[in-house]
Parts: sequence; C-alpha cells; structure tokens
Amino acid sequence: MPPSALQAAPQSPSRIPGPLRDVRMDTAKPYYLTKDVRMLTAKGWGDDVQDIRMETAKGYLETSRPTPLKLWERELLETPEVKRKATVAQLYFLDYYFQTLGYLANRKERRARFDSDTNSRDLTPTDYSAELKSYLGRERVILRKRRTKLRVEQFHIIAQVGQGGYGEVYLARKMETGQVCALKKMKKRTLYKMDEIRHVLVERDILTATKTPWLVQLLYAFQDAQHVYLAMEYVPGGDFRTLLNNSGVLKEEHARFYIAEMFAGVCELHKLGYIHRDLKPENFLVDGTGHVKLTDFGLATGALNPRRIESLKHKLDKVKDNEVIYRSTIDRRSLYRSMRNEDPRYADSIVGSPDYMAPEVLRGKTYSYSVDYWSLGCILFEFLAGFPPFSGGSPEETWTNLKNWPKVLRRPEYDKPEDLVFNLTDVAWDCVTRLISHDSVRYSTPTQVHNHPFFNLTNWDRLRSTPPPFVPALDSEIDTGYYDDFSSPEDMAKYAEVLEKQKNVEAVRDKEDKFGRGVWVGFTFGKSGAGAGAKGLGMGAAGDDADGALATIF
Amino acid sequence: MSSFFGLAKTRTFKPRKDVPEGTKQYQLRKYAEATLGSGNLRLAVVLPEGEDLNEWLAVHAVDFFNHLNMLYGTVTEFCTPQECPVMSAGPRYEYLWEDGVTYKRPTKLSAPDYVDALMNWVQGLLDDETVFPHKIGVPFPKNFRETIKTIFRRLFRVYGHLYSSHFEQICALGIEAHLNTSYRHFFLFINEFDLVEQRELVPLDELNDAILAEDAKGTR
Repeated sequence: MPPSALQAAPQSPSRIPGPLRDVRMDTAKPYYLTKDVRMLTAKGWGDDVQDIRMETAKGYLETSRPTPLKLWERELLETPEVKRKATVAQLYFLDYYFQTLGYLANRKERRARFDSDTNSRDLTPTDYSAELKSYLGRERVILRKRRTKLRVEQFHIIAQVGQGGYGEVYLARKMETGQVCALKKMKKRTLYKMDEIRHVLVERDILTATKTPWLVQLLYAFQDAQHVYLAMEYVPGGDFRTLLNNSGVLKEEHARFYIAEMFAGVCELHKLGYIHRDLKPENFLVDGTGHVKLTDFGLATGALNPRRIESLKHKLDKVKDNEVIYRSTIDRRSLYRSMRNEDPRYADSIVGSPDYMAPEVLRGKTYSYSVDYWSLGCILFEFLAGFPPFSGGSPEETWTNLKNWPKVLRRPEYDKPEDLVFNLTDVAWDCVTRLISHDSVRYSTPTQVHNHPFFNLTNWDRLRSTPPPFVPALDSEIDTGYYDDFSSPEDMAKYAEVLEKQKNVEAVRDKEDKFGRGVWVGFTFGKSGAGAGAKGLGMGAAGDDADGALATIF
Repeated sequence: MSSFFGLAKTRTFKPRKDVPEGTKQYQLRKYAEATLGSGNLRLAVVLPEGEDLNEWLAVHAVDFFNHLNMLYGTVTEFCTPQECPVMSAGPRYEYLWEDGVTYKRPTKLSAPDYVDALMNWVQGLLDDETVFPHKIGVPFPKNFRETIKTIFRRLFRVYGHLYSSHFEQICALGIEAHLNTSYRHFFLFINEFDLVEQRELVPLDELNDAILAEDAKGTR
C-alpha cells in the first residue's frame, strides 16, 4: 500500500478521534463502541492543552518536559538489574535484526535458486505449479517454526540426574533434533521467594556470553508461567563430589591434573568478569573425555544476596566463643567420611555448605577474584588429604573452624606405615598454603599459580590434550551411570535433606508484592527448532561450529 | 532534547565505545550499522511473493510482541503505579483496559497493570493453538485478521507509552536507537497491511509522518 493512503486520511488538528470500535473476539455480542481510548479533554487542540508543539518544519518534536532525570531515576539506572536488562535488550535487537535480515536474504536466494532450477528443466505448467506449491510450503514451514516457542513438552525426559534446592536436573532429549542435554528446571516462585532470580539470570548471562570447553555450554533457555529452564550440554562423567565419594584420596599427579583444569575453568569465569565465591567439588564435572568442566554459576556475581550474607555473618558470630576442637588427621578423615555417608549431598541444599568459602566472603567483607583461589586450595587439600581443611563433626564445628582458620589449618600427618603415602609432599603443601591464606598474601593471578613448583610438570597450554587420569566408560550418549539413580530409593535417600529444605522454602509465606513479567525478561535464549544444530556429548573443544557463533536470543 | 524522537538516530545505531572489537556484540553491531541504515526495513515488511498473508502477519505479531517485551522490560523499574498511575500515550491519550474476562468494562489501570494485562492477553493468544496454530499444516482461524488487528492496535499503545513517558530513561539506558528501529519497523508493517486505524495512531502522528517522509525520500 502506498503511503499516500495514510497521508490522505483526515488529520486536521480540529478533529478529535471519536470513540473507537473495539473488536471483541470472544463474545457473540455485536461490535460496539468502546471508550477504551479516552480523550482527556473535549477542548480540542487549544494552546492550553497542547503538549506537542511543532518547533520546526523538519518534523522533530519537542517534548513538553525536557526535564533532567531525577535522583531516583539516576539511582535506578545504576542498579545491576536495570543495567543488565538494557544490555540484554541491546544484544537482543542486534541479534534480531541480524537474524531477520539474514532470513530475508536467504529467502531471496532460495527463491532465485528455485526459479533458475525450474527454468532450466523445461517443466510442464502442471509440474511447475506442483513444484512451486511444494517450495512455498517449505518456506511456510520455516516461517511457522520461527514463531514456535520452545516448550518443555518438546523434550523427552530420560532420567533425573540432579536435585537441588530450587529444582531438578534431568537428562533429556530434544525430540525434534535428537539432541541430548541436561535440562535444569527451576520454580519461579521458589526463586522469587529466596531472592535468587538474579542469580539465575547471571548464570544464564555467563552461559550465553562464552563458548569455551571449560564451561558447560548453554543450548537453550526458556520459560513457562511457573518454571524457567536451562538446557545445557550433558556432561556424562558426573561431578567431583561423586568422584571423591568413590575415590577418597587422589594420587598427587591426578590431583595436579584436576586442580590445574579447575583453575583453567575458573580463569575463564574470571575473564568474563565474574567471581564464583562458592566453588566446591559439586561445581566441577567430568566430561565424556575425562576433562573438567565448570558448571552452576548461579552464585557468581558481584554480591551475595543480603539475606544470605546476614545469615553467614550470624553463624560466624554465634561460634565466636567456641573453642577449636583438636582432632588428629586420622580422626578428621574418618569423621568426614562418616558425615559424607550420612549426608552425601549436603552442599546441594539451598543453605549449602561453607566448607570451601573464603573468610572474607563469610564475613560479608569486600573480596576479589582470590576468593575462588581459596576455594580451589580447599579442594586441592581435600583431593590430597581425603577431607576438606575445615570440616568438623557438626556444622557448628565447621563454622568454628572457619572462624579460627589460621589455627585449624594444619598439614595432615599420618604416622602409621600403611598411611604414609597419604602425607602431602612439601611442594604440594606449599601450594595449598599459598591458596589457603590471608587475602593479603594469597595467590590471585593465574601466573602465580602456573609458576608454582607444584605445577612444574603441567603444560598449561595443552591441558585439554593431556590424557586424563580417568575416562568415563559410557555405554551411550545417554548413559547416566556416573550420576545418582533417582529411581532408586537408596540413592534418593541421599537427597532427603535437600528435599526437606526445599519443602521448608515452599512453605515460606509468599512475599507480599507480586512479581511482574518484567523480572524474567531476557531470559529466553537459543533458537527453537532447527539452527542450533545437534551437539554431542561434552567432547572437549569440538563444539566450535561456525553457525553457533551468533546464536539467537529469542 | 533537540530531537524528542531522535529521528536522526532511527536509521543508524549509535556506535558504543564500550563494545570490544571481536566480540559477538561487536560483530552484530557492525552488521546492524551496515544494514539498517538503508531502505531495508521498508523492504523487510513486504509480503514475500507467494507467501500466505496470515503466516506473515502471525510471525510479525510474535516478533513485535517480543520487541515490546524486551523494550518495556528495560523500564519496568521506572514504570510504577506511582509514576504512571494511568496508562497513557502523552497527557492527551489515556487508555482503558477491557478484555471481556477479568475486566468486563473498560477499566482505568495504572500503566504497569495495563501493560501487564495487555502483554498477558497477547501471550495467551500467541500460545493458543486455535488462534496461532503451530503445528505444520493447521490453518489459521477465519477471523484471524481481526485478531491480528486487535493485537497490533493494542501493541501500539505500549510504544505510545514508552515514547511519551519513558523516552528519557530509554535514552539514558542507551537503547533509544533500538526503540526507534523497532517502532519504525512496526509502523511500516501496520502501514503496509493497513492493520491499525489512523485515529489510533494519532499519539505518535509526528513520528509516523516523519517515518513516511523519510521512507518516501529513501525509495525515490
């Protein structure tokens, strides 16, 4: 339609749009006049009500309130939620127009190909119209798929592989493409109640921002009215909690391999500007090739949520007068083993464990990237000693130990001849104490770590092509053998406490204010239907398909 | 505020210095700068030869709904019942909400409540298999065009509210170029298919005229 049709429409200033007919769709009543657009005044466009003035002939408009932003507006502009949404919107539109214009160009090309192909074959009119019809049908399918949202129904759930405080993780297969993934399902309401929405958004942002073999890759993010979903690459080798539960203590060379890979993963996260702050063995997975991937960045952000900080500080205060209980290395290890047996998954619950957290995080003080080095130091200690450095016989004792960490941190000492192999070498112990130390002297750069003698034999540039200590034996791409079996009551029992805590949260009275749709804007990610392409198991660095470089954010 | 509607910026993306070269965002921006400045949007709305009109309308309804979800989402913190007690597109245009279900009569709502109701209403239709069939081969319902017109008419109001009440904030957030491009695209689309009555568009008349004038200049 030529623009003139519109321009010809009467729009003299004296004409006030009359009441409009509203089109109602769900009623047998005839269309009738509604007043859903109300003119504030019947005065017409007199000077007194004129809010739009034509200043120039150029068609620019002058606003009636060229007011500078007020203080509250300027403050809001600085909040991370607002900034984040603006960034997401930026990316969304750039990506949208990239996709849209790309679609149109490709479509034109497809049409040209169709035309030249049919021309060259000298078809009968009947054959031509049949082929045209089929070509147009294919185009129509592409268009229809473009507006089809991703829904959880499009995934076939194979098995549950995880249980956390906010929801479950499933091994699932996207029906249309056959692609296997780990589908993390979280309840919006629970996340809202626990002030954790931001953490989920941060996780989504980290996952979409990068494409490195060290971080678990996000395939899709989508939502429905009750849940948000993250579909991530399935990493079949299980997490390090399971690995440690099974192996107890690691040989030094194996510990070195894994902790080096963990450092590589954490460095990737740091490069993106995020600090994890709550690293623990559960956050590291073993992929199909035996190499390490970091997952679960939910807590990685500038600040813990204030409620959580208060509760951490409170717990630390409560134990300030407690005496440290002295225990021998053997005692500590067996105590820890029996605690783990009773509650193998206690870090999965909403409250989580403080075992690996740096003191400045627990105290709610300012902190830097080095808090993640502390956590890795604790994990390295656990690899070599069989228990984390500050674990106690009760949560209270652990808190007491953390409060008094310089006194509690001691080199494990085994004196029985058969246990001597478990004693740390000098160089390993030195490395541990460079990481678990006061933040003023703690290691805080990759270079410091790389140059430590403990890693003399480590080739940091070729980690992913170094043969790993163990390669998961997998029957198929949907083998869940390295995860707990959620259909077995025995394995399920490990999660009793996690589920209990989840129930408690659900019982918390709803927050007074309702949450609007705004909070989840910009969560959805990944093209529905075709396009994302099938990605296999976490097969190392093989995930560099070219068309994924500009994945969509629909 | 020499250009309230920032028309000069409707055609290009403002280069931002904080986007590092080589990143995905940088690539996209380069691409957008290179393509959106020309008459491409005008061509982008035209029904491709042989395409089903309803299919074309449907995919754009979803797209513009997503655009507005994104755009309005950036100002939800600013658009509160206190700041925007009535849904309006400038002081002269106030909108009442009616959906025949929860609100049987045209009802005065605050802008955030109105937009929430409006977006939920559209979402409900987009998810309704009998209105927007997703399965391949299922035809659109008979009254589809009427439904589409209602959707576009209502979506326009969100653009109207964004421009009249939140434009400064959107500028401060650095996304006015995107709002302008999105609205320009939206307006060219409704213009192409005659989806919204002229009198509904009056709140943004000046902007609309400018878009058409630019457009005529560009295609001549």
